[in-house]
Amino acid sequence: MKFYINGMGTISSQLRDDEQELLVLRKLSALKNNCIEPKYANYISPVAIRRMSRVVKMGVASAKMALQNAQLDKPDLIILGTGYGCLQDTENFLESMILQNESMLSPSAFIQSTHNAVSGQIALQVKCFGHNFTYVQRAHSFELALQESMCWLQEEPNKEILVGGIDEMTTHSHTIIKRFGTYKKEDETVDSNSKGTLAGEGSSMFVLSTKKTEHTWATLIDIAFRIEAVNSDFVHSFLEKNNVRAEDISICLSGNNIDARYQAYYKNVEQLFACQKIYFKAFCGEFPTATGFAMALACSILYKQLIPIEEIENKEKIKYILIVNQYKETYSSLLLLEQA
Amino acid sequence: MKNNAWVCGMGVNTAIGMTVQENLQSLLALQSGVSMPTILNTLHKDEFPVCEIKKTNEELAALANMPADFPRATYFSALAAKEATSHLPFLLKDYNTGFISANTVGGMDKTEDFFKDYLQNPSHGHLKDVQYHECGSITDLVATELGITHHISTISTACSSSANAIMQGSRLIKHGLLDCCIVGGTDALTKFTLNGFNTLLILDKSACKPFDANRNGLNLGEGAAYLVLVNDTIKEKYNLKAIAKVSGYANANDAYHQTASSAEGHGNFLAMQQALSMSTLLPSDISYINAHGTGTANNDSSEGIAIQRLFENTIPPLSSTKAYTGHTLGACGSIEAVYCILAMQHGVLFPTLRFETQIPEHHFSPIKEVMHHVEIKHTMSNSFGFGGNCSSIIFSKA
Repeated sequence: MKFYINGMGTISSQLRDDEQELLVLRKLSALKNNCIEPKYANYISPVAIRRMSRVVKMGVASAKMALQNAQLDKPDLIILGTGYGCLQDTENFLESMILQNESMLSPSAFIQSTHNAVSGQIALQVKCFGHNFTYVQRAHSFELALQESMCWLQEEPNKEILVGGIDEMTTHSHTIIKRFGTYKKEDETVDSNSKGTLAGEGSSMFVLSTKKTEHTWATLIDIAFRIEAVNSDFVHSFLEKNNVRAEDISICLSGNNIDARYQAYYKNVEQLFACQKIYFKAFCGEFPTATGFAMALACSILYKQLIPIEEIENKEKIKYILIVNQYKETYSSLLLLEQA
Repeated sequence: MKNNAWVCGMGVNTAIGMTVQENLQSLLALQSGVSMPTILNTLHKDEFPVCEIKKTNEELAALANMPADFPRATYFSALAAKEATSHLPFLLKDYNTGFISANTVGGMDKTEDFFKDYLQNPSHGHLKDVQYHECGSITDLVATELGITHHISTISTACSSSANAIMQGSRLIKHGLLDCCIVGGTDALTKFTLNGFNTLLILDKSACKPFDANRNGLNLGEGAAYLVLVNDTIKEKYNLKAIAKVSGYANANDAYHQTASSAEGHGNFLAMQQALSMSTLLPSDISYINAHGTGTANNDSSEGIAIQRLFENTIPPLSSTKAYTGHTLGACGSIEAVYCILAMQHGVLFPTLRFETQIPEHHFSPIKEVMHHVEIKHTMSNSFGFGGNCSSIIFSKA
């Protein structure tokens, strides 16, 4: 069965126009990269906006963009993944609770602190009464949402599914994750010779369907994920299962996050492909659902047959794109997309 | 896509017992778990009763044979999952086994400690206290303990989380993506959730009274529960005596309000109706409903109205066991799934403790006393949560 991506809406560190066309990608130079946020009033009513936290606004707006892009009023199902959930409201409530010694607290932050606040708000905004799930399995959250979406379409091929991945970065989360040594320090070089990666965030929503339309971006062929690190066997068996050879891959979107500690894993896999390799986290930063950004990038490239990066020129037909990712030394995943 | 999901093991711990057997005994003995908190260190400990497991983290760690510095929910999860898998005649690692767990606040209890110091100075606070903050981290820790690597997943959809974990395990078995799956959820009492529910003014200052006209809100609880689901192949190969079958499930969204149910319980109705439809059963085939029944004015009213709409004049015996266990949030769907299966296994139905007066807009009352020698073929378990998330699962006698 083929799964068509008929609409997408992304909010990331990169710019897209109203039709979700990706403008020329800008390589990130900062260590901390928040999203370029849209004018939320274009997607959400002013009354609703006032009650929403930033991540909820990002999620609802990107969901609306994806639906508009697919020319759909509402989906039948909503399946999201988020590694961190709604951090800002969780922190706000926690902070007030501690500073005010468990008294005089307001409910609004608590209400929006639940991990399914984004998927619940999307349902509320578009009046979608269908199945509504939120996966919170760290760097597999988006992959699990995709896996479930594919199961649903096999069971009920007429469904239109809104599937996405979303994670926000807050001042606190950045400070704390940095203390774990995940992000590069100010005095380090911004390349793969130093430890740490670039901090990012983003929301990527897609409309997945079994029906190809005139605005289909790309075909999602298959996904695979496992808790262990990526290696060549994992990649080979995935390609073999899908009857695709390594030389058929036109572009490898690698999750290589230029952290010196994990180069060996990525290099080991990247060397399997003679094709163009693009390090997608150089454009979105590191966050648990970064493969959502990669999938949106793959959609743009496959549809336009253009790589929106200045220094890369493309002359050949782009048929297959393979996304390879992992988080540190675990949580690896593979996504295979094809020109629709 | 015809693989059945058979239940062939279960484990549970709540304020009314640390094992399946202890829970059954307390349910039959009308032993409620409601008490004032003695372990949760909150300013509100003389104000709001909870259903607390009266064991310290150190005691739980020793029972689970794990380090003592993990978040509390990890121990409940590990203990219940180990109980559920303790009698299996095969090794989990020999099959495509999944661990699908649910929780709502991950390692929040430890994060609370961390944040207190961190707010003084961003370089303060022990990182090990925030290391397992993410919901998925709790699942990771327990998957490692169980030796499961093939498929690890966490679902967080507020109070319906673990019902959805059962649903997803069943779906992956149906699709042949898993042969076996440990499904359920865990949550520990935290100051975060207690204070959060307090801001919503839905905590009862006495023991809760689900489905009572004079109900005043919910009591929070803690614990975990898991079911072991296997496919037809494993069931037949090992000649397993399944204790139940997952015969229908559905999730729907109320799309009405972030925290409140619509008055008519539209999402609740859709979930129950679609679960019945999948099971190809009629409303009259259901012998027992374990209701979500939190004890809040809003939930119990809407849920009852949705039940009346679906079951009309043949409402089966129903009860809310949250009067025993409190509302265990991410764990309640799986805890109540265990109770549904116990009901079928033993032919008993558990009452709603403390029920006195029927809700005026309802034309039914919940079960008031333990019912023995009941022939129960199919049970329905409801779980509804914030974000409009409504789930219903049907278990059938194997």
